[in-house]
Amino acid sequence: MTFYDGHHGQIETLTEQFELFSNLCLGRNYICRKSINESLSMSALMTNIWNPQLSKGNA
Amino acid sequence: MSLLHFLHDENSDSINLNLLNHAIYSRQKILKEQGFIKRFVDILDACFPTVESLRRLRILEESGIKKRGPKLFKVGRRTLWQDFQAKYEIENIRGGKNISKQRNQVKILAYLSQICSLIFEVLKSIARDNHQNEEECFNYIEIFKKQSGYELGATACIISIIEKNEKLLLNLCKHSEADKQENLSLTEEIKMFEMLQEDSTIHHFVREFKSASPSYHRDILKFLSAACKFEDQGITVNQTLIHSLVIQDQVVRNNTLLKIHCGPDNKITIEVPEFNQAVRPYSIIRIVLFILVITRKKRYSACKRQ
Repeated sequence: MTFYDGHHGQIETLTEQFELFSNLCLGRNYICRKSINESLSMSALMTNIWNPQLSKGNA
Repeated sequence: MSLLHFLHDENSDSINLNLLNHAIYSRQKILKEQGFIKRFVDILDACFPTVESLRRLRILEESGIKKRGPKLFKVGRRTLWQDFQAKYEIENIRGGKNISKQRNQVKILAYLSQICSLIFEVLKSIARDNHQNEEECFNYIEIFKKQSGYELGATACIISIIEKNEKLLLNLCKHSEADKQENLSLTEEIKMFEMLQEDSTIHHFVREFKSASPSYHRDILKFLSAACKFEDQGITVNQTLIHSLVIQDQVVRNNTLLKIHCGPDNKITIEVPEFNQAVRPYSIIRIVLFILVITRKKRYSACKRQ
């Protein structure tokens, strides 16, 4: 992350965006999953899943 | 705001809106039967009937009366008017000068926006976990849509109404008038559907996306997220529509979503959007102007003394 420091609003937006992406893929929606995977790979998500700096509480 | 106390059977002096859970079903039903929903919507519409009147709410932000961020979270037993009178002393409009008239207008605007915010909170409570009331509220979605984006709580109210009602969620991708058309041939129906589909609630919020303020931007993201799922199951129609409008359309995607880049080491980088950078020069100009005004005033008073 390049701007997490003190950017509470952006982290919140990012969290909402991830929430939207996850809800778009819900119920095995393969079309949405395919296009979201192009910009956000599964390995990147798995690496960052434990990143505490990406949570709303720590922003 | 005794209605909130009534709905939630609260006896305390003030209610924390963030901690409100279930409203009492029978009381929700009474309020619906007594026509409270319709009356509240009438008040909302009367407070801000046009887009121009809603745009005047931006004056509040400029005058510093209404600051950005979470607003209402506690409501006391005192009436709104008593609170308002204690907070701002309204001057006599008839005999006052232009400046005091303007000041009054700002104060009245603050009062009206407070009323609307509270009405949205009450509507949320009336509709919560009550399908009939949710559907009744959904009939007035056009008014809620019009008032969303002005920090009155309209978007949160829409989300609260739709998120637990599958029927309403499925209605988000079509216009409310689409069902009412009868005696049309199949091709006419398809044409009509396509035409009306562009007026759907999802289309409306995607259109609003581009010009939304940061907080409204987050509200729209929340709405779109809520539109995609019902009880941990995807709503395919809405998912597909949002996908085609936001994700597939490169222009909309670049203008509305944070750009996420994944590096080879799986490091995620995000581009900061322009509206956050644009705040700085504006505030610098304001500071410079403020200093200029103060120095001029000082010079003027020094001249007067001499």
